[in-house]
Amino acid sequence: MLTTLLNGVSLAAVLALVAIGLAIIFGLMRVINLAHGEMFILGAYSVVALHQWTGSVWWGVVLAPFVVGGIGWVIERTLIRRLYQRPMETLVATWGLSILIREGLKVFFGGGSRNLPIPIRARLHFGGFSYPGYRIFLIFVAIVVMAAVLWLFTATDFALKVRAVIQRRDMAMAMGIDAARIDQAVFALGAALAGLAGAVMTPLITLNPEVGLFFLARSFLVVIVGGVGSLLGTVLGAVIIGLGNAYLSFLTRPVFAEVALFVFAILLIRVRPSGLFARPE
Amino acid sequence: MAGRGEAAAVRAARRVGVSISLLRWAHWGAVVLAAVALWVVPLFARSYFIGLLGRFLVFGLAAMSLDLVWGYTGQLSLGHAAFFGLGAYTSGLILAQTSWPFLGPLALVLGILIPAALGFVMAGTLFYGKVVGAYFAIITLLVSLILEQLAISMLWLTGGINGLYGMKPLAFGPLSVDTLNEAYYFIVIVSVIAYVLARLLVESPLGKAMDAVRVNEKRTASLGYSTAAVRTVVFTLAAALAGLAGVLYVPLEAFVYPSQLGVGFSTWIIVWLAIGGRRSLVGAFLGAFIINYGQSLLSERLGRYWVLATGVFLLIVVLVQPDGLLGIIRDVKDRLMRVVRGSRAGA
Repeated sequence: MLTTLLNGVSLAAVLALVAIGLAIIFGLMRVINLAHGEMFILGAYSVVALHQWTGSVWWGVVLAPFVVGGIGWVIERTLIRRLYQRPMETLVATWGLSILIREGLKVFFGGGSRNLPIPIRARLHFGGFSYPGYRIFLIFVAIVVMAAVLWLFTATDFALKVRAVIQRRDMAMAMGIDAARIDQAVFALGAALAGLAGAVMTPLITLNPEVGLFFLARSFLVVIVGGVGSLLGTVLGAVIIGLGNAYLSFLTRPVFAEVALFVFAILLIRVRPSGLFARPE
Repeated sequence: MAGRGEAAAVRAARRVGVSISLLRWAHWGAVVLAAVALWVVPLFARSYFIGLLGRFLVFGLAAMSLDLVWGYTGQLSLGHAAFFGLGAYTSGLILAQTSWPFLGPLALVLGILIPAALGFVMAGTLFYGKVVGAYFAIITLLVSLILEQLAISMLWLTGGINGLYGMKPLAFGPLSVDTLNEAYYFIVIVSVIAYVLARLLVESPLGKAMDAVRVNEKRTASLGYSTAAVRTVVFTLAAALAGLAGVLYVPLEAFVYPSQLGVGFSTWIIVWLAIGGRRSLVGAFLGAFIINYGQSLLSERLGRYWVLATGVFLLIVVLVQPDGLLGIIRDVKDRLMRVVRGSRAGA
């Protein structure tokens, strides 16, 4: 039972990293980035590329957020900023972009699946119970990063600027805040978090360019359940979806677990459109 | 030729003094001509081409279905293949039963009604809960993804990844849709009927309400329309139409498989419509024809780049030409008209 719990927590940790990027980008810019799953995949393939080069997974895990954050920054500068105030067109454009990235990766790396070695082989023992050390490491990383993100968005100068831009963009700009740069920073940060999630997940999954879609879909469930109003809500949404997925997969087949969570999310969006934890507007 | 295109055509007609009723007659005349042309194709075309053309028409129907939702009411369905595939699976499963009577009519009717029911439930739940725009689009995407996964994993019902095959022909009493030519003629008849009905829909008062809901939802609501009702009705009809396209695909392909429900195929439908031109029923068919014909010409050499190209197409449609090919045709025509008028003014 403890294994299922920890499986759920480690899935929740990864989903939180992916979904928080989706949520902060949507919260600030009202942009839903359908290529967000591809940011995850780009993080994963950064690890693959650096693993081929250096023979170690660690370089990729450390560098992936910077690589993907840079890519996100370029995407914001070249594409997203042309599309503000046109939410439906943004969906189409980012969907096109996701196809471009996914197929580009297939051309570059080949479309087949691959598995990377797990860098931490040790298992953690307590009592008569043991659990893979790498998954514990993953949970630890997610907690540290989430704490850093929460700090960044609540206690810093940057947080004040972001909030000002969200509340009254024109007024914030009149006060000398460079709103366009805030957009770039937030978009790059969201992409970097998804890239980090992809990087740390790489050794645990069978990687191919298509898996981004599944993490995108689950992140949407997280965002629907947790709402986009508060970062804590998104984290709690990730915990619900992660634990729900682990326990339901334990009880029935994984695909039915996904269906059950999806139906739950649909019913929830009907009753509480702003999510479980956000205050209704 | 509806929406923006229609308005432009009407303006052009007024300018040169052609009455609008004449324009309308010209449109219906063109429809009859196109129907006759499609009808005589099997007389001199190779069976490979007949198969292709039948497939294009089915895809055009799917794109026209998306057009009603996305083009006319402004709600993007990112998972439209869910309804197409559900129609195909429903009719395929019924046609696989050997003992039931009236298999053909049952497969056709349920293949339309079951996707329509799913569309009605989705639209009713979401639109009446004010879930519109991006959230709606994402939920349609999730529905398509989940139905594909279910079709893969529910082996006992769907045959899993291998899909359904060995169906009996779609038969209506003595009439049977069995050979390629019979399937093709059946598709042509149904496509023409569906086009005429869709055209009548977008020109009806409900069609005007669809435009109004897209352009300004608040104002439409303040005029006393239930915007949720308009969207729900249209989405249900579109789901039925997509299901019908799925039913038609079964005799053509003799095979039903999970990706017909999935996100990849949904994306194709979006690409056909976006390239052809949204808010134009003709554009839906045009996009399906051109993209698929291009694919059949190029795929031997460039198959792996063709999907990549669809990503580029979507970006072009958003950034450069929102009205797709019909928009390009209109721009070229406008420019020619300006040149012609300019030279006349100079003379």
